[in-house]
Amino acid sequence: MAWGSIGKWLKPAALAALIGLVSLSGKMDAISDAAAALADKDLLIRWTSAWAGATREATPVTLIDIDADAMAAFGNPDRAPRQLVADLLDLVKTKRPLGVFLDIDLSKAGADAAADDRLRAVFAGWPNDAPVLAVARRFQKDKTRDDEDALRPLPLIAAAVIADKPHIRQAASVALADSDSVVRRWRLSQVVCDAGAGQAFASPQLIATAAATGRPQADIDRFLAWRLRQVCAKDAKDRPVWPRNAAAETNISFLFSGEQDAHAPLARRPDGVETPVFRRISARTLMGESRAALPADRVSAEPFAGRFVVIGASHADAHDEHMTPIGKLPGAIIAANAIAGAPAILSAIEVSAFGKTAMALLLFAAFAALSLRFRASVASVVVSLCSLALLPVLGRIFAPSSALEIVFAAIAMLAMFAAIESALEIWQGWREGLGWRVLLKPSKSPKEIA
Amino acid sequence: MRLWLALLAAWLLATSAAFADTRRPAGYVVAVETPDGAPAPILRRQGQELDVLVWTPLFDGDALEVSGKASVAIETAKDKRLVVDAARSPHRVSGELGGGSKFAGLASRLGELFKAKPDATPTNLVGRSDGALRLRLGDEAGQKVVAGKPIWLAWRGGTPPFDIELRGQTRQRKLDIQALARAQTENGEVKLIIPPHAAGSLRLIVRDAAGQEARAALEVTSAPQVPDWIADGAPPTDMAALAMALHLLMNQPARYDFYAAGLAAALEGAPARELLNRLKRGERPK
Repeated sequence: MAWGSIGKWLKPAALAALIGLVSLSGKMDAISDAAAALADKDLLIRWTSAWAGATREATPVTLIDIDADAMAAFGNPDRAPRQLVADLLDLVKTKRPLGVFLDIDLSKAGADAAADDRLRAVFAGWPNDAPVLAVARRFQKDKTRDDEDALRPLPLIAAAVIADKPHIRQAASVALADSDSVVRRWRLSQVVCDAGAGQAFASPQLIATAAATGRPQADIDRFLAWRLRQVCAKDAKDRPVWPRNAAAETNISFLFSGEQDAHAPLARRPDGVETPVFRRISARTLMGESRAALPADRVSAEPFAGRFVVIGASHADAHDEHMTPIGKLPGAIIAANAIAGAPAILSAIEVSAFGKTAMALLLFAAFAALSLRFRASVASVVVSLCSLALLPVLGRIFAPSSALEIVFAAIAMLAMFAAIESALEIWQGWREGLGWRVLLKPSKSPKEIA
Repeated sequence: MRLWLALLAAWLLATSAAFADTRRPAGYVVAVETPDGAPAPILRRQGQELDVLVWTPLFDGDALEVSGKASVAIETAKDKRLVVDAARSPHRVSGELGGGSKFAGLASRLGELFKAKPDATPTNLVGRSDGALRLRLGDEAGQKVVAGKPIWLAWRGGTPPFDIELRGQTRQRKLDIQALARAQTENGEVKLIIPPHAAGSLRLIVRDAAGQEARAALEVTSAPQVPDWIADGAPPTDMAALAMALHLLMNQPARYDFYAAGLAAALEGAPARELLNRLKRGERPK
């Protein structure tokens, strides 16, 4: 065999040996995982959210968790003791929070009527100058309607008491589970259309963002009135200016998992101080020996002041665990993620489906120009880097999920463009009489082509 | 000159204390116990004395001073969870809670790229029979029981054998908390007699072989009032006792669960056994 012939195979053999060595060392798994991760939409939404500033602008949230420890102190009842919930509300309102979201099911009377009365008394006594209190309302599918998405609210034991309290709102904490049972998206508001008397409920993230940005309650009322008209009367005119991005359904920016040792992102407070976006406090630490909440003067205001407080339950009997892109989480932590990431999403520019397509086409034109000018490997690196650089920029201007949709659509168009271009080349070569050899890669080097 | 130096020192102390909360905390106070008469714990931060409240942030260099019978539980980056009492006082706090810097954030995100596969957790694909230990009755706080009378309790989950312990005070030694009754069983139910000398608040503890615990708080009180048509059932028959048990179990709030079930457990016969079986399954009379 001639030396030239050996030389021809030397480079591919050396490359194959190198790849074989990497593979034998077990690193190929990590490389293939990383390559696959770059196509993981959930991961890229989290990155885009973080890089687009969702963390920095986040509403800091403190979760008072009625967890297994707190339940054990009450002899493990089936549901969160209402007496404790009432005590916690009394405690929290003295600590200057931005607002409070009570993420506890109050659709049925509890076993202890006195505790229910105590909770109603706390609602009745909620001062008009106190922070806004959002009370979760549960919804279930409305079987009387043909619409698959139609929900109807379950009763609320304190509905009558809070009806005339301006600083207490009923909130719809509704998330959407995709076909793989993973919760990824929130609903900004929940509208219930009834003949003549519809009702619109704000999500806790909408209420929290209004509280964190100093918006008056009237802004929420205006938005809900518009949503009611839009959904029930099909009249979308006179859209209120706030929130700027009123997309009904948006991906939740999962910024934290709530686990003790997990990476804790920081948000910047209005005074410039950095503070953890999320804090989780066991309700047990706020209870005394008698199981009542500690007196306010024995609890520091630091975990609550200037933060939105969620009172929720993570104990097993709450049956409120859901699959999310970052693992199985209690509903209260999903709500906390939605609340924390909401300002970046609600302040983004809302972009219609047509707008997204137009931007994706523009981006595709730029990517196609790059791929025509450069070699495939160089073009793919440049397109990848451009995509990663564009995600935070677009995510900052539009919502992170919209940014991802635009960039992914452009990449899909580019892939289709490359496939059609290759098919056309094959067809042209076939017509020029190359026969089956048209399927082979051209063997000439760039130098020979030049 | 001295006056200027004093003013400068005061200004430095005030500003450094004010800037303390711009640092990242080292941890937090999670519980403060100050029995009657015990002096309140003190937190010393850069020459200042601060009150120790639950969820007070702790910073590197803080000193926690506890005396007498008081104690303070803290959770910090370095100590995880530590109870500081007089023996450990003064406790100097050090370290800083991690995470949050831009570099840490970037590193965490890049790490996430190479940890795309979720951490594997072994999962049994077998129906569980060792769920969390949990009492079937006595959901309501402060169950009332009667000295000298039986109680019956049932639980679910846990790994047999189970140890049941009743702790509390007696009429004679009100300050002593001691074991008043004990039992061991392989089943998820037990009948206990509340000792005639028991008084005040009692604690019922069920422990399983795996170390899980279920607890209930009891309060020794007098026998409950029941409607005359039950109490007057003369002579007191098994049927009257069963009716009394049902009446108490149906009460809202259910304060006499253990006592009522004890009445049924003291009876012979199918109706009483059926009632206990239903209670054991978690059903209640409505």
